[in-house]
Amino acid sequence: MSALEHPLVARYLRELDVALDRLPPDAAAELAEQIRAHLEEALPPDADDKAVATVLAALGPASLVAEAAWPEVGTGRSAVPREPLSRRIAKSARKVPITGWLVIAALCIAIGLPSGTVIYWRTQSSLQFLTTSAWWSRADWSHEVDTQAAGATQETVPIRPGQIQGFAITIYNPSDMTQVIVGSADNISPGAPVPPQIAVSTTGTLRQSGEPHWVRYRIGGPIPPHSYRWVRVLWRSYYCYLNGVGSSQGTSDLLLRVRVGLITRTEDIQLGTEYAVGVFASGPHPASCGSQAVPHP
Amino acid sequence: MSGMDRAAETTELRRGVLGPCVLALLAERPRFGLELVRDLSQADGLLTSEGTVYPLLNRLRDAGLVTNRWVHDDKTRPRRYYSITDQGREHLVAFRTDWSAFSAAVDGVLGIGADPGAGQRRRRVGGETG
Repeated sequence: MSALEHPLVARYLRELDVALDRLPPDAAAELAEQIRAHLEEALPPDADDKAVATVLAALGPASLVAEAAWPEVGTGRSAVPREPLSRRIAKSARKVPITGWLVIAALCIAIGLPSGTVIYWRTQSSLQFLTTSAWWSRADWSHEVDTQAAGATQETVPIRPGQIQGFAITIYNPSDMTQVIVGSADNISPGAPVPPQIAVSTTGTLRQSGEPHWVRYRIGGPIPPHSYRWVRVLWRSYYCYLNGVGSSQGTSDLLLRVRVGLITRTEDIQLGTEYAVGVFASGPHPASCGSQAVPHP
Repeated sequence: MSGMDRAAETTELRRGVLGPCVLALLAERPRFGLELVRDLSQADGLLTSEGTVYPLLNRLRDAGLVTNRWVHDDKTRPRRYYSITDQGREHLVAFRTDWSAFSAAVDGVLGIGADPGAGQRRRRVGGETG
């Protein structure tokens, strides 16, 4: 029989294991092994209670031995070994009163809900061009020609200085929120002092003929989620930014200011082709470039 | 001063010198745990709880002042022997120097020595000339 099996020794070692519980596992295991070795050396296997009690008294209480293993104060190491993180968090959490948790919950809602909502709005998909398009004015329909500029195809119509020109396209809203087109983010009509007018059809009806003119438009109109609408883009053309026969200017993407929820952002609608006005030799000639004041359509 | 305060003060004193005493014993020769504890116990009042020597040994080892190795002997159970390192010897030499000066100063202030009044007189002389 080993001295470690003596009831008094066994009880002491159990107390030691409990006392060492707050030490790092490696340090605790090493110290327990050292104390066991000490007891085995100090006590014969058949030691009586008196001898065991004397050796244990000389060894000191298990709690004192464990305490001596804690890092010393003032040496830059903490006096009490750190508990596992989960236990420390649980202990700290229990110290916070219920009112504290209510305040924390209120703050989380106050900060998290608006932030989450804004993130949700910002991550909504942008509007998309839905391939159907047409020049708005009948005067332009019959004069459209396909031209090439910088490798890109242009659907070009003769510029009609001082006249309202423009086109209509279908736009799809792929997002889960209604998007409201509040205006244009750039000036499509060259030199015009005011931005083009952007209007949205009130319905999504797509007929075989007659559209885009057979639908009603509304400036600042909404496009519901997963729906399409006609979008009309009109401007008053200004000749003097085109320098003679063969020159043209237009756009191949439409920069729109779009409101999603309570935020307004700029969306770039790729049109696939460029809508341009140009100066043709056989086209109408401007009267003059004298007037800078070009009224809004 | 109460008895409890005095005991705490003695414990602090003991704690401060126990490490160098362990190093001094190991500087003589390597020792295994119980052997070291028993030798320390020979010095009256130096050790009150033998179990606290092992955490101290582990700290000295972590500081690089002591090393240990297992020795397997046919006659006895495997034992962990503790030895002093070169760094430990340097530390011990430095402590001996400091301790000599420190203990002499404390003895002088406390009036301990051949002439119990020497410390008091020295202090008075210092006060008069300063």
